[in-house]
Parts: sequence; C-alpha cells; structure tokens
Amino acid sequence: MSQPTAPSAPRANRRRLRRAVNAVKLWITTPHRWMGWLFLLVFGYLILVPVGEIILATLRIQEGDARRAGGAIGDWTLYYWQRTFTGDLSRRIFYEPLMNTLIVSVGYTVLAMTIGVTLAWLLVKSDIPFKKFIGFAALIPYIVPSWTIALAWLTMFGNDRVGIGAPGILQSVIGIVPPDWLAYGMFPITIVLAINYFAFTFLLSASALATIDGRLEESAELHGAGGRRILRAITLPLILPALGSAFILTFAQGIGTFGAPAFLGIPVRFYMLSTQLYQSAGIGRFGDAFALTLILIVMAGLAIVMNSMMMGRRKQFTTMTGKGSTHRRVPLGRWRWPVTIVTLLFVSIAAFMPITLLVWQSLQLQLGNFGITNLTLTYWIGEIDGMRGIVADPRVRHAAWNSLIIGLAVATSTALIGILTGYVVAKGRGSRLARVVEQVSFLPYVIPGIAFGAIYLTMFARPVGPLPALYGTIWIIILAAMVNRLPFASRTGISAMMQIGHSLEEAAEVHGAGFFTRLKRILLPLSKRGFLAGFILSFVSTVKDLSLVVLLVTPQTMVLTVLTFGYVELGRRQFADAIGVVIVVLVLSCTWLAQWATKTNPLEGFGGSNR
Amino acid sequence: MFRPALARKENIMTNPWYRRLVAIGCSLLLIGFGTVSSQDDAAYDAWLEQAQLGPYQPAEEDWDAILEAAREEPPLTFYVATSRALGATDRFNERYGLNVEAINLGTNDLIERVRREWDAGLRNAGLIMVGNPALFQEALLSRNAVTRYVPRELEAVMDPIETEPLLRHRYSVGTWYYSTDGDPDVVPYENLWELTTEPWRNRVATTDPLSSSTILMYFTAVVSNADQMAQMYEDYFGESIELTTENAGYEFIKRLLDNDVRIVSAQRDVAEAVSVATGNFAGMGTQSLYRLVQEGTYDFTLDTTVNPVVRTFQWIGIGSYTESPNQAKLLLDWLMSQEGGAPWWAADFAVNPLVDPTDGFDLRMADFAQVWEPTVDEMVELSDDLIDFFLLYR
Repeated sequence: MSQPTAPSAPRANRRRLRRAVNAVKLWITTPHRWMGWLFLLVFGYLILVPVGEIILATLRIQEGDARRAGGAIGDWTLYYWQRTFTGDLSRRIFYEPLMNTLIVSVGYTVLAMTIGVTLAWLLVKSDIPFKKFIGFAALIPYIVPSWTIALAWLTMFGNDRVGIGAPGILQSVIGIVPPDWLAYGMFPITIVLAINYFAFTFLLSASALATIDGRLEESAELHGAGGRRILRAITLPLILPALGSAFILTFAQGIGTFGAPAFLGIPVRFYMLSTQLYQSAGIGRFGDAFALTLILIVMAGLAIVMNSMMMGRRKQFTTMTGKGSTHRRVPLGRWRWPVTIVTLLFVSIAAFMPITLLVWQSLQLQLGNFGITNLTLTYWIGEIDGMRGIVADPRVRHAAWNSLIIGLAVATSTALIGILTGYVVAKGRGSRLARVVEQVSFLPYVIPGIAFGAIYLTMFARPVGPLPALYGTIWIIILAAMVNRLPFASRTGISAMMQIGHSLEEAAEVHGAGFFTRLKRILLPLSKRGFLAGFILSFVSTVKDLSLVVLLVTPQTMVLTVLTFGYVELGRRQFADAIGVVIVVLVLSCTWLAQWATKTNPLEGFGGSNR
Repeated sequence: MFRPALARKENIMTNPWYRRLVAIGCSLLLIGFGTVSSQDDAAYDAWLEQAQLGPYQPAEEDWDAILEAAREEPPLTFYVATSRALGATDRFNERYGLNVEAINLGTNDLIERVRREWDAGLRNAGLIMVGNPALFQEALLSRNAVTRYVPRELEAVMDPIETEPLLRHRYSVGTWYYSTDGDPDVVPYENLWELTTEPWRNRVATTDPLSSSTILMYFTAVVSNADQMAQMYEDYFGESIELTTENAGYEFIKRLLDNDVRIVSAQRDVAEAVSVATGNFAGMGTQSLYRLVQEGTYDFTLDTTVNPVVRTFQWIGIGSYTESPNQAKLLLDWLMSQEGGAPWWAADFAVNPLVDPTDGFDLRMADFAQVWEPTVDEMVELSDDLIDFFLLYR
C-alpha cells in the first residue's frame, strides 16, 4: 500500500484522513485508555479535590471564628493548627483523643490478632471438630455493624450512674453494679472493636496459614522437631509478614470508627479522634474538625505505607484458597475437647449474644427491667408517648426506604465501576496509566468514613463545577458512599478481570464485536460472580454504615443507622434496638445470600467490608 | 502512546504525567472556589418591594389580598426547631387550603442548614422559627438571610424590644427541678452553690451545653452575672470565693463539672433521671417539661423560688428572597395567634399579649422569683469562650 515516492496531494490527504479515522475508531473500540483517563478525571475530582479543599479550609478562617481568630472570614491563618497542636485546648481536643485512639486501637488490634490467629491456627492446622460451624459463627461479629455490639454491651453491663440510668442485666438481674470503667469508656470500646475485628485478622491469617506447604512442617517433624519447635521455627516465621500486615490493616480499619466510641464513650466524656471530630463539627467548629480529619487521614495513610513497605507488594494475601499442597493436621490430643468447648463458647457468644440482647431489650416496656412481665411489642408495632412502633412509624419507613435506595444505588454503581476499573487495569497491565488508576482507586482507603463525611459536607454544600449543591439530597450520600467503597469494588473488579485472558476479547474483536457487545457477552458473564459479590457487599456495608453518613443526613435523607443513633441520643433505647435488629437481620441474610449465590466466601480478599 | 518501560525509577515530580494530574487538580480547585455568594442591595430592595416587606409594608394590611396572592405562590418551606410545629402547619394548611411544608430540625442544625443553603445560593427557607439568638444573629442576620416581619395589628400591641431585630414568638426559661423523693414543697438546696458540694456529687443532671442552647444560655447568664454569683457564694459558704478561673461564674461551672454532674444528650433523659432518682436529685432544663409532669409522664417539682431562671426566646422571620412571602406572612400571623400557636401555649409563654395560656397550664412568667436574661450581644460575646471552657473542663 505505502508508496515511498512522493504521492499526489489528494491521495496523501485521503490517507491522512483515513489514518485519523482509524485512530478515532481504535480509540473508541479500545476503550480502556480513554476510560482510564475518564476514571482519573472523575475520581481525581471526587477524591483529590475534596482533600485539597480540606487542607485549604484548615488554613483559612472559617465561619463564626473571625473574632476569635482575629481576622476576617477567608483570611489565611494558622489558628486551627496552633489550636490543635499548642493551644490551651489542644490537650482536650487533640492529644487526649489521639492518645485514646492510639491506646484503644493498639488494644483492640492486639486482642483481635490473638483471637484471630488462634482461631485460624485451630481451623487450618489442628484437628478441632465443628470447623464449619466455628468458621461460620466467627464471621458474624464482623458482618454486623460494630455499634450493635456496643448497644448490646450496654444492655449487659450498663449501670444507672451514667445517663438516664437504665441498669443492664448485670445490675438488674444479678445485682452487681458494674463500675463505670466496665460499662463505659476505653475498656468496653476496646473489647467491642476486638469482637468486631477478630474475624478480619482470622481471615487474613487463615489464608496465610493455608499457603504454608505442609511438607515443610512434616520434614521438620521427621527430623525430630516437637510441635512447639515446629511452630516457632517454621510456621511463625513463614506467616510473620502476613501477621504484621494483618496487624496494620486491622489497626487502620478501626482508627476512624465512630459508632462504638460514640455509644460507649460520649456518655462518660471519653473522646476519640472520630467522636471529637463529630463534636467539633456539631458545634460549628469546622476548622478544628478539619484539622482532625487530616490527622486521621495521615494516620491511616502512614499505616498503609508501613504495610506496603513491610509487604513489598500489598496484594499478597488476598486469597484463602492457597496451594494444593498437603495440609498437616496437628492433633490436639487431650486438649481437644477443652479447646473445642472454649472455642465453641466464645464464637457462639460473640456471634449470637449481641443480637439476642438487642431483641430482648427492644421488647422491654420499661428500660432496664428484665422481667418476663415487662415484655411488650409496643416499640415494634404499638404506640408510646405519641411515638409509633418502628413498623408503623412513617419516619422509620421513610428512613428504611432511603437506606434501601442509597444501598442499591451505591451497590450498582460501585459494582459496575469496579468491573470497569478492573478492565482498565487488566487491559493496560504494565502501563503507567493502569498503575495510576489502580493507585487512585485505592486512595479512599486511607480516608476514614467520618472524615469523608466531613469533607463531602463542605465540598458539596454549594455548587461545585458542573454539580449543583448536593447538600440535603441523597445524592451527596450516594456519591460519598460510592467513593468510599471504591477501593473494595476496584479490588474485586481487578482480580475478576485479571482472570479473563486477552485472547477471548481479541477473538470477539476480530469477529467485529464492539466494546459494549464484548462487555455484555464476554466480560460481564465471566465476571458475574465477582460482580454479584461486589454488589451485595457494597449494599450491605452501605446499609449498615454509620460513620460515613452521620454528618451528611438531613431529615429528608434520614437513613436507618442515623435514626438509630438519634433514638439513642433521645434516650429511646428500645426503638434503637428494634431498628438495630432489623439491620442485623438484613445484613446477615444478604451476606449469606451472596455466599450462596457465588458459592464462595465474599469476605475473602481484601478483608471484606467493615469500616 | 506506548513508551518503552523506563529502566530506572523516575523522580515523581519530574514525571510529566504527575504534572498533568496536578495541573488538572489545581484548575478544578479554582472552579470550585469560583462561586461566591454576594448580597446585591438592589435585588434585595426589589424583592422587599414585591413582597411588601420592610419599608414597603403597607400601613394597613389587606389579609384577603395576601391570602389570594399566597394561593398563587409555590409551597412554602418552614424551618422550625420544634416537632410541635408539624401539627400546627397541618391545621394551617387545612384552614387556608395551602401546602406549606414544615421541616423540623434541632436548633443548631437548623441554623447551620439555612446558612449552608444560603451560602449555596439556595433560597429554600420561606419562614424560620428557632432559638439560640446568638447563633441566629451570627449566622443568619449578619447575612441578611432572614427578613423582619411584624403584622401591623401585632406591632400596635407589642413592646418594640420584642419585635427588634426580629419578632419574638415565645419565651421559655431554663430552670431547675428536683426529685419528689423528699418533701415536694421544700426545695432541697438553699443556693446554686450547694449543688457543687459533696452531697450532690453525681446527683445533678443537665443536657450537654455543647448541643443544647438552653443550657448554654443558662451558663452564659451565670457568667454574665458573675458578681451576683460571687455574692451568692459568700452567702452560702460565709467566705469570699477564691478564684481558679476568670470569675465566679466560670468557677461555678467548673465546680459543678468537677462534682461529677451527669451530662446527657436529651432533655427527656434529664427529666427521666430526676423522676426515677431516689434521694435528692436535681436537673436543669426548660420549663416545657412541666407539661409532662402534669400529664403524669414524669415526676418532679419545678424550682421557682431558689435558683435564678434564665429567660430565652425564639425568633420568627421570613427567609429573604423567598418566592412565597405571602404564605410566610399568613403562617407567621397564624403561629402568633391564640389558635395557630395553641400547641405551644400549653407549655411556653406567648410573647403576643393577646394570647391566653391554655387551660390547665398554670405556670406564669411572674411565678419565677428571679429571672436572668442575657442580651444577644452578651451571648454572642460569651458563647465561644463558654464552649471552649466546656471543652477544657468537661
């Protein structure tokens, strides 16, 4: 075709035109590149711009602070950072919450690790019976929202010295008044978060243990090493990097959590960074709140950086299936039954006690009276003090509807975005664009939910670029939840797409299938399991989330979780418990549905969804 | 487009790719900051004229014409801080055949919400009724986001103080009440300061001053009446006070907090705690809970004689630039009236002198022996310091 000699002008033009048309065609039919750019543009806008705004906001005088900061609104200032780090109040609004956050986080992480690693070892390496049941029950406390466990804790250990003074079971039934440290504050928050997160460490360490080739341990045994020696010399060193990673990821997941610290800490004026941030925003001190927001982001970011330094590559422990090598079962011997009984007891209590307590308390006419005669369905279907039971209350229905709509919208969009992100990354494997897309999709992981809420609250309170003011609409919640879910969704999408070979798509392309045909006929069908799992997990974690939405909802956009929080603040525990029960049932059945539909454990990979 | 993979790692800052990204980010930031809300005097004046407000309010109002104009307007949004308003607007809609929507939010949330909408250029708020005058003034009046309106008939009978800079709807007081476990006729303390002594440790409850404007107002009054607080200290302890804080008012708050005061999140929780307590127990909240004692929900006695009470009020005004000014006028007039404001007259004190309290509500403003009333300026001046003070000593 090509002619090295000078062509006539019209032919050259035609050729140039054809080349341009072909380039455009190629650009459209190989969409992973422009999709990558589009992705960067949209999510850069939705992630980087808000963070930039927050940084600027801490450096300028905010609404209502003009007099105290000595300037006009919008002036440049270091007032907020001085206030946070060196001011008279810094101890109260920063250092104490920081210390509390660190102590609680290290505490629950150590506890969760201890429990999780022990469980993982028992299930993967030992001959403990009832493995299926233990594995099933151990995941439940991770699936239910942490604030329901916190509420159940109060039902058990609450005392009448704090708040409205409704006693828990311990005081009411057994007659022991639990001391404040047991009922409220640091200790129970640590325990509740440990219960919430041990399944996460369990999953991570179980997958690490499962990848150890049993032959290594066998050969040690042949050479005369005892059980303990094998554990010390072979098993532990092999899984140590994974354990370190699990430690950091667990730590990072919980530092911004809001529900448990709010329910168990605020009544005794015990503040962590998340609850202090909430309080500062609540009293209109947005400068202070934003400084804490950034500190939380930096903390989570540091943890993640440490993790990837430790791991080299962070993708290492995303699978539970591991290799097909022989698995060595360590006989527990005479310890078999005691260990079994303790394990069964523990996982059963952690899994079923909270929900039982919530159901019970939701049926109490008078709060804190655990007698049989005090049982009533009033808070479910009746009416009391002009407030209707949750089944009949239009406000609850409205909130349930909002939760559902938001959950579905977020689930659909994130599952789709996840698959498309996966496509961009898998197709462009090795290219810089693909790498940057992957990194950007991971960024929201370091922004704790409540920090995200604070950011979006400011960012979208007024029209921004092409978007109208979203504050007060459900769009702001959907958008925030969507971006918040992005790391999980794109993780799922990338691993699903990596499994689909290029050749399938190329074959279709040769036969003239356009991108959308390929998407519909090849990519989606082959990744439908991943899509479904991503869909349901997104739905579940959106419906049960409190941290992200607590700053964003308004009466019109009220959702179930925030309504629950409101009921607790109003001293209406029974209503809160009843809604909590509904959410727990919904969340559990959806997760099991996903498990059943995909015949896999959807919590695998990236440690699931609890934030 | 494809470039060969680089053999060595580049410095991220010199990477053209990152530079491009940073450039895009920066330009997006600029777009974001481009929106600025501005107050256009001429446009405001035009709106006032059209809405017949401010200088254009006629000397005598033609209510038939207002109703007729109201029916042509889009439905009004009424921001209000009490749930009782929902019933009141339902009856209003029934009476006038209108479709006003009431949005019920907490005091501070409501003001913050209206401010955010105002700054976003949204003019959703048609009528606003809410307490916390200090925050109201700082966030809304300073922006001219709310416009004063007083129906002529009311202006004729009301004290001008009660109509400036906005019309007041009703009064309430922040007051103390105590457990009926002892003799209900004897107030179980002699003086505010007694509540800071050991026998009252963990036996006083209030709502969180950081979220409750009533409680914040009470402590504002305590601080602005610091001299009297010092005198009361001497009366009770027989010696002059030794200060560890700025004045006797702050000192009282600090000692009360040090005395393990129970801080709860809801007014009802205070009432509940006082009702179920055995032995001496005191709580602070608004007098509106008294209604629930009359109805038998709670069991406590109001202290009208020993401790000072603090009077506060709710402002009501029309959202500037609303498209439904006539509906706003009608609703405001209705809420001020005997019939329209009925849900409040059973528990709060009407500012409108023509309104009689509902049958069965036997509490009067005059029943309280000592009433403190900080000015709005005092509140504005003190509230920030007080909030910091609470954060420090909570």
